[in-house]
Amino acid sequence: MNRRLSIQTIIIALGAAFVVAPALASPPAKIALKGGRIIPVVGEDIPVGTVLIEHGKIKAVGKDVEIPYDAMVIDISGKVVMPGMIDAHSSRGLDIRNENLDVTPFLDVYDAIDPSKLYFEDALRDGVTSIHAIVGNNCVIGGLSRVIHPIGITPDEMTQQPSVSLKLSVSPQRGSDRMAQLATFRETFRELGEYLENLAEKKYEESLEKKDEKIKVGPDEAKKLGKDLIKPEDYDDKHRNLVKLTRGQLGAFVYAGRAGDVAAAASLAKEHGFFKRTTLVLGASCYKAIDEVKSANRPVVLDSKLLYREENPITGKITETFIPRVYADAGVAFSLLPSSNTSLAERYLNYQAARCVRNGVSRQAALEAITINPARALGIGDRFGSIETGKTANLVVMSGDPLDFSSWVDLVYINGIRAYERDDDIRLKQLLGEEKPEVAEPAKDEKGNGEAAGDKAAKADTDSAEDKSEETSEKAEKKKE
Amino acid sequence: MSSSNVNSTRVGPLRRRGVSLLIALAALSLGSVSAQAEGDSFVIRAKRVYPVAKGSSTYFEPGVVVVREGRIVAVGQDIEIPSDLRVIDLKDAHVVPGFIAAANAMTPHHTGDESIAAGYLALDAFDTYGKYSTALAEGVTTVHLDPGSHRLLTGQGAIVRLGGSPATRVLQERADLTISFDESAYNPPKDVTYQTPASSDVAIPPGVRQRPDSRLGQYVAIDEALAVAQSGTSPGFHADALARAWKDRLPLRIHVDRSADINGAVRFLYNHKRKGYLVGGANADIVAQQIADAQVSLVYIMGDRLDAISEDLGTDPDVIERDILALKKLRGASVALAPPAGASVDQLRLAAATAMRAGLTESETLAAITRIPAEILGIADRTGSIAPGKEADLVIMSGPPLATSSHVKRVYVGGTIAFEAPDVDAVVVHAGTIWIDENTRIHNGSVLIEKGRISAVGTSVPHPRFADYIDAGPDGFVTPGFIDAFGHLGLDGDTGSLKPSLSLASMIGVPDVSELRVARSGVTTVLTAPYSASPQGSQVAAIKTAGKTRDKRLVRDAASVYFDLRKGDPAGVTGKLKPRLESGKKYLEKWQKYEKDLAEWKEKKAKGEKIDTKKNGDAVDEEAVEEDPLTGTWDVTISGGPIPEPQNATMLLNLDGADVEGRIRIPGQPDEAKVSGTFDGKHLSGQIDIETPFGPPAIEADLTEPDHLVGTLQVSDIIIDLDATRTDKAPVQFKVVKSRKRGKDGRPLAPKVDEGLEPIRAALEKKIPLLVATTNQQQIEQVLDVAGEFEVGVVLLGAEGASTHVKKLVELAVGVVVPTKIVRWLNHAPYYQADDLSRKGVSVAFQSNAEDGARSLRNLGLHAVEQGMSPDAALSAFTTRPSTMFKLADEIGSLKKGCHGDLVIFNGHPFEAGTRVKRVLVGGEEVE
Repeated sequence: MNRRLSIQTIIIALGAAFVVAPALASPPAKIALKGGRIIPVVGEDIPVGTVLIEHGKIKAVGKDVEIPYDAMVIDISGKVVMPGMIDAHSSRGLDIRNENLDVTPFLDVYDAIDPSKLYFEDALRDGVTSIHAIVGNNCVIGGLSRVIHPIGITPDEMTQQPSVSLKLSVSPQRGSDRMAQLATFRETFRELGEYLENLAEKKYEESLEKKDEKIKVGPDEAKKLGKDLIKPEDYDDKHRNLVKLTRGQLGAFVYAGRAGDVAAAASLAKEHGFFKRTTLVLGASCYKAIDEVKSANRPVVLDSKLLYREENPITGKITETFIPRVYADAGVAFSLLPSSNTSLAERYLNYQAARCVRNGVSRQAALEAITINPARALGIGDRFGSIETGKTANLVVMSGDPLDFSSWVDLVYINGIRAYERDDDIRLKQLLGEEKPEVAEPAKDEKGNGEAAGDKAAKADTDSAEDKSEETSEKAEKKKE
Repeated sequence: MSSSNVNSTRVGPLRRRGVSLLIALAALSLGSVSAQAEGDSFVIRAKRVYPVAKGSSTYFEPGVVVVREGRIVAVGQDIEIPSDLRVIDLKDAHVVPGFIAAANAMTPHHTGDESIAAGYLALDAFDTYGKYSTALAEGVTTVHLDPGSHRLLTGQGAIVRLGGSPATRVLQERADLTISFDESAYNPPKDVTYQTPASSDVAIPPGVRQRPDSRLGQYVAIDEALAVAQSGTSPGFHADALARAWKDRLPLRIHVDRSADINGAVRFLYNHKRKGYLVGGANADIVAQQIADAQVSLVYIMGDRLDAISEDLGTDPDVIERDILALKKLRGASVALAPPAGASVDQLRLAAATAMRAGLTESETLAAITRIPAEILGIADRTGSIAPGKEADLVIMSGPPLATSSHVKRVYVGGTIAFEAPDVDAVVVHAGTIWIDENTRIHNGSVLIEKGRISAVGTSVPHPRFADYIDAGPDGFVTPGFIDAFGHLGLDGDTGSLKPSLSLASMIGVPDVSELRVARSGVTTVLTAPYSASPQGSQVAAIKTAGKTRDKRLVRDAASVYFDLRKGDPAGVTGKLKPRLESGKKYLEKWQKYEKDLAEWKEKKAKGEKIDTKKNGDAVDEEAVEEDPLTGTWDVTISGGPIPEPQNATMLLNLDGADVEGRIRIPGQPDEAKVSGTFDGKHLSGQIDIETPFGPPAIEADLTEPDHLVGTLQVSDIIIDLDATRTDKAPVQFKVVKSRKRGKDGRPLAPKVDEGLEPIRAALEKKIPLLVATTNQQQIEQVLDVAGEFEVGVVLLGAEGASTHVKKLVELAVGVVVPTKIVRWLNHAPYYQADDLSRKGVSVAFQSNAEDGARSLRNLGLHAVEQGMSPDAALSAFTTRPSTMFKLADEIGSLKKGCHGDLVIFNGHPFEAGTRVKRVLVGGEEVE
């Protein structure tokens, strides 16, 4: 407890300058970003133009935008403005990624979001303005997810869109196997059906009781008659979200870890009525099932590992496949994920997109994969993911082309608020050696500074541990084959 | 190897259609026909096809399988081959149906706690996109997936195949209801149900104990579960699944272990009047009679693993060789074989083959891993045998299907290739007779050729994985590839002589028709010589008649030097041969000196002694090193000609050997110009790289004194005087090329290579012999004398008069390449030179003196044998003798380990008139 407090104190101390303050300050009503190159993602690039923000929304975009006299004009000549990037699937903002229980549709990541995580600071620095906070893949049915932005000190402040989707995983959770995993799904949905029938019967009986009438029909008939009497508030916690899911009122992020799981994911979604709201979260080897993915015609979120290596067990020859290329060639719209390993360049979404371009994916498809595609998959494509009039002003100003890896994120706007400014990024300066840390000496014996670093290391450990365990399970599977 | 043995030829549909009208129509249809014939429609021709169908013969030899759109339409020995299909000729291959693993550890068992849980589907655990190469590489095409045997009722099994497109891999989604009467299903964990969402109001209930904990309990538990499931009173997920499976009358798959389990299972099936089969059978021998009487099928899991030592079993005498005991008693019953528990499906074939210890025949055993499991699993209408209507699940094996050393070369699943063995460049040739050389022949032996060379020969050789296997049969007679000791193959009628420095190896290309014709006749190497020899001798190259690359075709570049002394030149020996050998000797001595010096230098260097790099003693003479006279900066003055006043320029020169490179800044030119030329120690001649209308200016200058050049610059006919002084020397030392003998570090430098004398040097070093064409006795004597004098090896070509020198020929081990005329007249009587000389101990070889005429070379041997030569002597005159004569015995001419993989398969002794060349391998690759 003591430890936790001290971490938070330090984080607040360090981060207050740019995390907390902008979130609280009320933004200027009108801001004009003038003179930069605009990459709207939807629509043609504008070599030199202006983005006008008014009350947190994009008011106008174009080459010649009339700037109101009372607008705050920010000159971004020589720079590039693009939509804020969107992380389509992340558990890194949660205190733990998964519950022990396998079926937990009654949970909400709201309770797990830890605003003090350094991850949010990193995300902001990397130009990510929307994060789909969702439980990890280690579940059968996980909880509700939500879209958040990386500023704010409470989950409420951070929330952009609550109750986005339920997490489902057709690949076995840790310590389980595929037979048990899929049997659990069948069992859960069967139990749901049974619950609904019983509830209907109960409602019917209650309705008769109110009228002081006696039950005249058999239970089967009662179940039918009671169906329409159920009101949304009648569902219990355990079933409420499942009912919403099967009625298409909730999105579903379905994780398929290997190619053979794609069919299982699609048929599960079709069978239980949420196929139209399904986004497929696909493991590396799923590209082999590209025909099935294509015919499913659902949004796809790819694993952060973009290269798939396969060894021929007879000859030892290794073949490599660049995964996004397969999807791009098949015409499937996909979203890219950053790696959770913070020591790799893969943690930057724009780097992931640049790798795609280098491996033959078109520039447009690569940019869409980190902006508008995830927005659409999350059902927020009408508000986020591109620079279009009327959309929320989530913008990233970069020092150069976003796919050039020498470009920095200079400014980040979230809801028209300047959420990040590189010139004020104290920690970045410290990392680059431009400025010495202020809280250094006295904290030493009280485990101040050392602990912050330790916490970061611990976090990195858990991150990589999860990566590793996924890797090993993949390996184990290969062995079994 | 696979590419040469697995070759496909297309039989076109357009065969001799005379009517011109039809041609247009046929051309139109050609496209569609060939398109259809692609992919999964084809004809396989193989050495043997094992149909494993009921009532069919054991195998067809040779066998043909016709496949259309992934299904077998015909199989047999002499069946009509549809003209629109491509024919895949698999030659030595044995074709069997894809193996079926009816029990295996392919998918892990489920992790659920429920003792009775019919809702688990084994198919869920299967990855349809998986690559199952290790199983396919052992011929397993179809597997049963089992939810496990660790609970009483574990779920529902499935049947899948391991190849083909992922969409077609599932054969049966719900194949059976899996029950386990095995003791491992006793005492399952307690069944715990948690309250979700968790609440402090509700305590976690204690787990409910589950059945069975005894043999008795298991029947009660199942009957109870069935009763509940069938009652239809909303009993739960797994009970629903059980009710449905029971209603659909899924076959029961019952795992058994002890004899009591087996009895119980048989009774259970009878009581419930259900179809089903047993899996397991450790005690099957005890209850074999009951199993047979009840007509219950059994998937027998073999007892002993092949990849691990068995567990210690103590003193129970009954368990010794339980497979043999059980399978003997079960013979005739419907028994499929499965790999041992815990072993992977790759071991199915070999584990099954061990069943033959119990007296099962090859066809019974084969059926037990193909047709019978297909029948038991209910998929016999689709796979399990090679019969019309079945899917083309075929395994192409290198040898007999159950032979330990056979390998899977290719696997078809549903007519598409699911596995292709990697090309390991290895082939094993087995035959009734292997003629290694004139002293050794073995019966029922094999030769292993790896990467073009023979790596083993004997009655038992290794069979590397995926190696090809050629069984030439008991009549097969394998000899080394024949050698034509003097031929002209590849010269294409060019009868000119070749200068001594020219190597014939330079003409080697891809073998053309004439070369392959010769190869096909069994002649694998030709000592290729020009039609006529240069007076200074021409090179002879040992070239193979087949091989895909130049390197594969070349045995030895300069295998001999050919002198022709026949053409009426009495002074031939002293005029041609001797002078050439003398200059060769001088050349050799130079090299020997160099090598001696080099050895000394190396020794000194190794000892760390100081080595003189300057002039010293006799080894280093005044020619060795000099100060570089040219490299450096030169101040140049040019004057005269059209230049009104003398002008100055600066020139930088760099001397490398005899080549000069540098640059000069000429007045009036904006850039520096390049200078290049040569320098011979005194005189510099070169040019300046400037564009003028008359071409670049030329420099001619002499080093009149150190650091001073005097000469001219010339453009067209304008001559300008040049005077240059070196102002700066580069600290590099100049080496005079023509006389240098030592390198910078005192290392002796090699003499200049003389391509023409190199072969002579090799001959003097006894690496190669001279090939001398000669006729009369006197000349032969002279040749032998010269050979003795210079201690060189000699092979005589023709040598009609050799019979009088037999003693000397034997003494000096001189071989004779006999004329193409086997019989000639000598002293008014027919004389058989080959026979005569070989009988007297002289090495004899045959020649073709022709190009692709060499294809009839063997006839000379036939003729010689008819005239009395021993067949083996004749054979050695084509093989070991020529290779020994030309000092190629480590390369060709025998089937010794290390030699080239060149061999000929005959169907009898090669010098029986009726014997044919069956096949020829050159460098381990078959000549088509």
